Amino acid sequence: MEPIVSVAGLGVAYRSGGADIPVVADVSAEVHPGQTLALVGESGSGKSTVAATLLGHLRHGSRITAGTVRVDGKDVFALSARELRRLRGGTVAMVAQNAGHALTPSMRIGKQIAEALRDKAAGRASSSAAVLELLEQVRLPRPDELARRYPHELSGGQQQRVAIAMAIAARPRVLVLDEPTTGLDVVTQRGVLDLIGALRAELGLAAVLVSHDLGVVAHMADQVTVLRAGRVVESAPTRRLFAAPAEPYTRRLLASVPRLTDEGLALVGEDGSREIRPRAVLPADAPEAVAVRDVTIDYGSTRAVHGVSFQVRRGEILALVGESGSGKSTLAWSLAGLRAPSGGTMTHEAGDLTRPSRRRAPSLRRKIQLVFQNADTSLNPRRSVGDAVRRPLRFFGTAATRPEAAARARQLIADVRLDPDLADRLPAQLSGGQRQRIGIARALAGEPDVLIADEITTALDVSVQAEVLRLLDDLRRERRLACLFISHDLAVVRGIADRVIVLRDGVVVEEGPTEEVFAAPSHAYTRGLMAAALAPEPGELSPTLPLRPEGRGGTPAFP
Amino acid sequence: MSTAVIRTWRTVRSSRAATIGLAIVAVHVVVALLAPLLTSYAPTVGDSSLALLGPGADHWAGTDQYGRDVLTRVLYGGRYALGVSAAATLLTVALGTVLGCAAALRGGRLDDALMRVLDAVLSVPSILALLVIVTALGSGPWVIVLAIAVVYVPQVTRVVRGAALAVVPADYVTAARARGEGIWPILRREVLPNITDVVCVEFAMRASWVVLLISSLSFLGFGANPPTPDWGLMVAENRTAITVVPMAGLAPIIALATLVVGLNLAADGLSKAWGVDRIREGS
Repeated sequence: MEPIVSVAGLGVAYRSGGADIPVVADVSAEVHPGQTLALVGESGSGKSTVAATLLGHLRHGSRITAGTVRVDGKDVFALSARELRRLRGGTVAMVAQNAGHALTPSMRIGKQIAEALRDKAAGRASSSAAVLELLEQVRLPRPDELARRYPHELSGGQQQRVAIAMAIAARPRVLVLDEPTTGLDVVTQRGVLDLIGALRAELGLAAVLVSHDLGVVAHMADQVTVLRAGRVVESAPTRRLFAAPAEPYTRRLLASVPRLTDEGLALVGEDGSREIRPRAVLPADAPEAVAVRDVTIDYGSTRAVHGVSFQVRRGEILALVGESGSGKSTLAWSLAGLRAPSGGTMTHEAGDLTRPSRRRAPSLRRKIQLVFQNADTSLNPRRSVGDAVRRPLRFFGTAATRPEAAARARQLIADVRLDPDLADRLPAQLSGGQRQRIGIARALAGEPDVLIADEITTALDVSVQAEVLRLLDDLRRERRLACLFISHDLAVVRGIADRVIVLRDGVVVEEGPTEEVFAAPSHAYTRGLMAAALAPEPGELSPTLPLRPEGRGGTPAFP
Repeated sequence: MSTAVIRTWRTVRSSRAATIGLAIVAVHVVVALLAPLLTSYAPTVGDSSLALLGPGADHWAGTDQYGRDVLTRVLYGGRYALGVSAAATLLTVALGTVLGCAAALRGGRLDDALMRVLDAVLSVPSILALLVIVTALGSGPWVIVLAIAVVYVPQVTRVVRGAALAVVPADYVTAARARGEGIWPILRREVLPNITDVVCVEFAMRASWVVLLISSLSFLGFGANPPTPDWGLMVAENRTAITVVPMAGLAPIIALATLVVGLNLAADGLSKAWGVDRIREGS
């Protein structure tokens, strides 16, 4: 059979300072109708650039230097503007990473979908019927009501479903999915992936899936192409690639993915070998660092956290697990003094934590520090990273003089395994992993004994994620840090946490030592979360428990 | 700090409009400062026997009804307009920036209350408000500076608040809050460096409005007092003789127009150049 997409010897470069800088070089790939090709790689590997060429799109300032891209037998970059429009409207459709940004905020859902349908459906009545049909096709509940809503009234998963509905509106033959589930929590991700899988079968679509998540790729793709720095490292059928990766880079990448079965952090060797580091043993007499009792937190009239209690000891990592909206970040912010709880007590040996940070004594404030999820926005883009670390040193008085602060900042940057000479750089000149380490160094500047890590590895590539996790594990051993580790990724939690608390709608549904919870989850919700996690092993998606009907947030699926 | 200066300089240089605009403004400033060296006439002393002359070898732009050299008065005339404008714009933008950032950072009731008060001020026509203040408090330069601040601070506050609102939710601001930093250090260290472009453009744009407003006031007789050489005042003084010696009225108008065009070019060019920089930094 003829491939519907064929990319041959593709090279893309952009011009900077009079020189061509290659982004993609010599990439070839083919997709047959009904098949799914996954483009896998870390950030900057050129995977999105390749995917965008299928729609004849190049980032501003870049151009094709070699090769061809053929879709449905036509050379995409030889098409006239008109033919290209027809290609984008009819043959190829794209689903972008952040559907929230892809939808027009001021237009109702139904109207946006109708717009995507414009060429196909004639007449108003048939078009609104077609919109409802599409919404039903993407499994959205109560389509007639949903069509009248605005994008911001939908959850992230629902927005992504609407984006998919718009993409399939024109009955395309090829679907380009650029990180379709990144940024969604496991349960929602699972729902969207199930939908994509079903639609692919129903409509006989060929798909190109761009992803950094090997778990997603293992379950969705027929063929995988691994990219690194714009070049193909390896290309193989999914089963073969995951079972017997030929290249060391692929092996390393696969080995970096944390798994639900790991009983500690995996140390990945150069050749891709995995060695599980045993968990740190917590001394029985480790003092309690923070105690939280019956805490409730309200946003206006809605209660985000309902009477949660836990304590963390020095040197212990406690994981808070749950989907988005479960109240785990709210709890973290409250501990950090950014939102006062409406009830209950939170205490640290140095004082009361129910007060907002400005009313806490500085000696207490510095004991509890926060590391943020998104390293891109957690550092001020106009200030050097050294400055970001020096500020808390000076502010908390941990360094008395300027030169001392500068020296201590360099030391801290070295402590997070970075070159101290990076201190003079601006955040934009650092990679995501480096920025996240600076975020940790800044938190350490106050010499805290409690570190709150709010989804700190979610936005990172797997290999970088493994390094940051190891750093965190090292630091808690060296500094006897009590660590509140917030995550929705159960595989990561399994490797690093000593104890786990599962939150759902602001209520603790399960609590216990990591091993026990993972070996025998007692609550159906925990089991559902674990089933939704995708291991990097090929196979059909097993049917999961419906955790909750989408679009009816707040209605518990379990008593 | 020096890297920031170099970066700014490069940004300015990359935009032709900004370069030309700033050059025009610079010429005006230099001329106003060096006026005594550029002309041998005194701006306020005239020879009535030489009144209402057309342009000639002795008086390049002619003379006015009191026999004063028009060119000399135009050269000196920038002093009042530029001085008062600079002071008024500085005060307006500084106040507006602080208020705007504070409103964005504090949010809640303070934000609501402040915005409603500013809305109320905004609803009064600016020239009317100015006239009321000047009539009540006199027309000294400091009163004018104050009056202009009252009129324009609400607009600057709105623009700066909008820009600051985009920065405030960023995690680095949250981090500073979690450290328990006060509102002033957060404003100065975290917010301000990220909205300097907006503030600078606002400054340049506001300056051109202020220059026009001050000259209008002088034209109406509420700004500079005769015989101070001032463009607005000169237009008013010479408008009756416009058919006899058109140059006497035209010269200050040309001076005023070039200054405003220069300021507008600078504002336009800067905002575009910074916009491009933003995109470049982002990619």
